[in-house]
Amino acid sequence: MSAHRRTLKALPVALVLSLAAAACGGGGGGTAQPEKSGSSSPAAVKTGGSITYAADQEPTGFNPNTSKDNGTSVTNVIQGILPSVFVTQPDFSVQLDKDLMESAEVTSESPQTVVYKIKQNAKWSDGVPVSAKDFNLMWKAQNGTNDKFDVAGTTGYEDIASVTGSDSDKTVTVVFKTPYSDYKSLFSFMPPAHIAEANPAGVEAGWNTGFDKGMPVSAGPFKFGDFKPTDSLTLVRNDAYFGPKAPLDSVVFRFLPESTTQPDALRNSEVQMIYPQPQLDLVSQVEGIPGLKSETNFGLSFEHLTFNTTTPGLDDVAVRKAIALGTDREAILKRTVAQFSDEAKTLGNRVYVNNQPEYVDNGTQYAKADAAAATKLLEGAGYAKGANGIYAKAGKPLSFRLSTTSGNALRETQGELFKSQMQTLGIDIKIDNSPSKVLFGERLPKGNFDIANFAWVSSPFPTGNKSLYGTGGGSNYGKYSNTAVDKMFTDANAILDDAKKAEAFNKIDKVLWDDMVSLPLYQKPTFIAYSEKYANIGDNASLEGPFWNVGTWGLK
Amino acid sequence: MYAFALRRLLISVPLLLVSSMIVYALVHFAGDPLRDLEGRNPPVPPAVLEERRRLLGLDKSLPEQYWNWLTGIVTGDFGPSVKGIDIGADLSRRLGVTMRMVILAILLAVILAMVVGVLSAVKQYSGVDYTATLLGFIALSMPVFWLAALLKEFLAIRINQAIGKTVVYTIGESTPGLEGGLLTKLADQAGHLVLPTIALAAVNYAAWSRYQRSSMLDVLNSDFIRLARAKGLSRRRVMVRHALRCALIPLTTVVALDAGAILGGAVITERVFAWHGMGEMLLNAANDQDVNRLLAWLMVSAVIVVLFNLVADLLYAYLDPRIRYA
Repeated sequence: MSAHRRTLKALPVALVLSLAAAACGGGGGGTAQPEKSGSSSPAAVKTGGSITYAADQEPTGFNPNTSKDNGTSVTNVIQGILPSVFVTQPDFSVQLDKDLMESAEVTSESPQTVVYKIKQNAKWSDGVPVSAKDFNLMWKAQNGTNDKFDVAGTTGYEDIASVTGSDSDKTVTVVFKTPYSDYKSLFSFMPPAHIAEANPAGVEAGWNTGFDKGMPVSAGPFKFGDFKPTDSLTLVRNDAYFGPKAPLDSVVFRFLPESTTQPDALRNSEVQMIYPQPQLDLVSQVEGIPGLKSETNFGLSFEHLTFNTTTPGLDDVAVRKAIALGTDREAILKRTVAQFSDEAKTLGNRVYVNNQPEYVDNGTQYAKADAAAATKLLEGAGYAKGANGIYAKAGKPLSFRLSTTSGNALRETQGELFKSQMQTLGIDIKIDNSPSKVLFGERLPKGNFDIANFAWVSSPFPTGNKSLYGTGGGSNYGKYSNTAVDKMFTDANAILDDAKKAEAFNKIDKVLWDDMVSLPLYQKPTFIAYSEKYANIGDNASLEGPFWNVGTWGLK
Repeated sequence: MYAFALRRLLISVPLLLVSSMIVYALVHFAGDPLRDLEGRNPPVPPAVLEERRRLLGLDKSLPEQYWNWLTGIVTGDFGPSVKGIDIGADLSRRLGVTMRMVILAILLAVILAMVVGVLSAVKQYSGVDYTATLLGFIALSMPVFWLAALLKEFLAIRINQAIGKTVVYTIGESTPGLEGGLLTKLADQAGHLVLPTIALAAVNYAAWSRYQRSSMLDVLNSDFIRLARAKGLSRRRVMVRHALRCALIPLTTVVALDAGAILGGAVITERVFAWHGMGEMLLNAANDQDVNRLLAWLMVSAVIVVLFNLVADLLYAYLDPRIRYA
C-alpha cells in the first residue's frame, strides 16, 4: 500500500495509511502459534533455507511509529523484529502475543487501567530485557507533549496519564486519563528504548532517525542481517529469540518497484514470494506459473463515494440518498473486483468490512439499485426533470464533479459506470480526476470536490472513525456534522467491552446510512503468490500483512 | 588545447547555475513535498509537520532555500532529503550501478554500429546492407520494455529451464547474500548483466549504425576519395585511413551526446530490469518532490553531459586535422 508508483503503476489505494496508526495491530515476532480458534497450528517444516520476497518499495527507515516510516514497506520488515503486545489475526480478531506477554488485562474501568505482564524470559537480542522502559518510551514519544518526537499520530497515547513499571519492570501499569476502548492497538512495534536513549544526540534523535540505517537489536524471530540500500535487505534468524525459533535461516527483501517484473522473476526463481497490488493481467499471468500457490483475499481497505455535504444540491440528504439508490453497485462490482474473485460482495457498512466478525449489513435498503425510489425521493424534494433530462430545482440543475485518483484504470472504469448510471437517473456527473498526491494532499483536505471516490482502510480498532465522521474531524472531508453522532462516538470510544463496542459502532453506522454521508462500494482484494516449496505462508489481509507469522515459515 | 578545454568547462558553470535555478523553482512550485503526510488519518500532529518543515528548510523563502542549497553544494553537502536518504551515498552507489550497465552496452553498440554501418555503406544495396537495415529498423522501432520481455522469455527463463539452473537473471545487479568465491560472484554479476546490456546495446546500435552508414556513403562519394583511389592507394588504406576517419566525425557527436544522456539514467531499461541506477533516482526524486535529490541528479548528469561534449570536441581534432583549437 505504498504510495509510491512510477512508470506509472497506478496506485489503487492511496489513502493507505488511513486509520493505520490507530489500527496498526502490530505483530511482533512471536506469533508462532496462531491463537484463533479453528486455525491449524503451523505445519512441520525443515530448519534452514531462505526466501526472497519482491518488495515493491524500499523501507525509509525502521521505526514505523514515526510519520516518516509509517508505511507497509517498513512494517513488513519490522514484523519479525519488533515486539507488539497484540497481533491482528487473518480472521481480523485481535490476539495477545503469548510468546512475549503473560497477560494484558483491564483491572479498572474508572480510571481505565490496563496491567501488562511481560514474560520473564522476553529479552532483546543483546540480552537487555523487554521491559516497562520500552512501553514508557512508546508513550513518552507519542503522547503529543514533546514536539521534538516525530510521530505518525498521538491517538490513544494522548489519553494515557501514566505508565509505571514494577516487578523488575516486567509488569507495566498503564492508567488512562480519558477512556480509550482500542487500547489493544497500543504498544505495537515497540523500538528498543535502551538503544534510542543511548543515542548521543538525545532520545528524540534516537527515536526519529536513530533507526534509519537499521535495527541493531531484535525481540522477534528474525534480526537485521545485511542492508544494501536501493537493492536488498536481509533478515537472519535471531538465535537469542525467546519464542519458537524461526525455521528459515534468512528472509531477503528484494526491492522491485515495477510490479510487471515480478512474474518473470518468480518464474526464474529469483524471488519466491510476491504481494503486489492485484491487477488483472498480473494475476492471470501469475496464476499460469507452475509450482506456485496463490490466493486472493479481501482486506480491510474499501472503496466508497464520499459526498461533500456543503456542495449546493448535495447538502440535501434526499439528493444524496437518491444518488445512492440510483447507483447499481452490483454492476460496478462485476466490472471491477468480481473479476478477481467470485467472493467479491458489495459492502453495507463503513466501520466494519464483510469478513470482520463485527460486520452487519446496515444498508439493506440500498442493496439493489432502485431507480423508481430514487426518482420519488428527488421529486418529493421538489426537483423536476428539465428538457435535457437532468433534474433541477429553482433553475439549478443537479450537476456534480466526480473526483478520484487519475491513472487508476479500475477507478476510472467505475467512474464512467457511475456517470452513466446517474445520467439514466437524471443527474449530471462530470469526471474531474487528479493525481493521488493532489487529491489526498490538497483537494480532499480543502473540500475542493463534490463526490470523491477513494479507499478508506477499516480496522479492528474503530475509534479512529471519529475523525472521519465527527464534526470538524481531520479526515471528515465531506464536512458532515451531526451532534447526535458526535455524542455517540464519544460514548462508544469509552466502551471497553468488545461486544458492546461493536453494537455501538454499528448503531453509528446506521445513522451514517440515514444521513447518507458516504456510499461504501466494496472491499479491495489482496493477492499473494509464493513457491509451493514453502509451508505456513499465508496472507493476513489486515494491516499486519503477509509477514505476520514470518517466524513459522519454512521449507517443506 | 588545454585552454580550450578549460574555457569550455568554465562556460558550463553559468549553464549549470541557471538550470539548477529553473529546476529548483519548478519543484518548489509543484507543491508541498510533505502533503502526503497531511491527508493521513489519524492526522500527523501539526507540530511534527512544522518540525519536519523546519529541518528540511521548507519554512524559508524560495531564494533563501536556493541560496542554502547553493552554498551547501560547493562544499559537497547535498542537503537533507524529504525521504531521509543520504544523498551523497545514494548518488555514488547509483552512478556505479548505471556505469556498470551502460559502459559495456555503449562499447558494444559503438563497435557493432561502426562495423555494420561501414559494411552496409561499402556494400550498398547488397544482401548484407538489406539485412542490416532490416535488423536496424526492427531494433529501432521496438520499445525497450517489449524487447526486454522477449529477452527475459527466450534468453533467460527458457535457457535456465533447459539447463535446470538459473544462470541468466531478469532482475537486479547481483544476487543478494550470495556466498562463494570471486569466480562465483563474477559469474553472478555477468549473469545479471547479460539482458540489460543486450537490450541497451540493441537500441543504441540501431540508431548509430544508420548514422555510420549514411556518413560513410557521403564520404565514399566525395572527391578526395576518388582522388585517393586515382592515386592508386590500396583499397584498405582508402577505406580505413581516408574514408572511415572522416565518416567517424558525425558518429562521434551522436555517441558523445547519447552516452552522456544514457549515463544520466537509462530510465526504462533500468526499470524493466530492476537496476537501481541514476534513472530510478530521477524518477523517485521527482515523484517524492525531493528537490535536493533531484538537483543532485541534475548536477551530476549535467556534468557528465558537459564532459562528454568536451571529449567529442577533442576527438574531432584528432579525427580531422583541419580542426585546431586556438
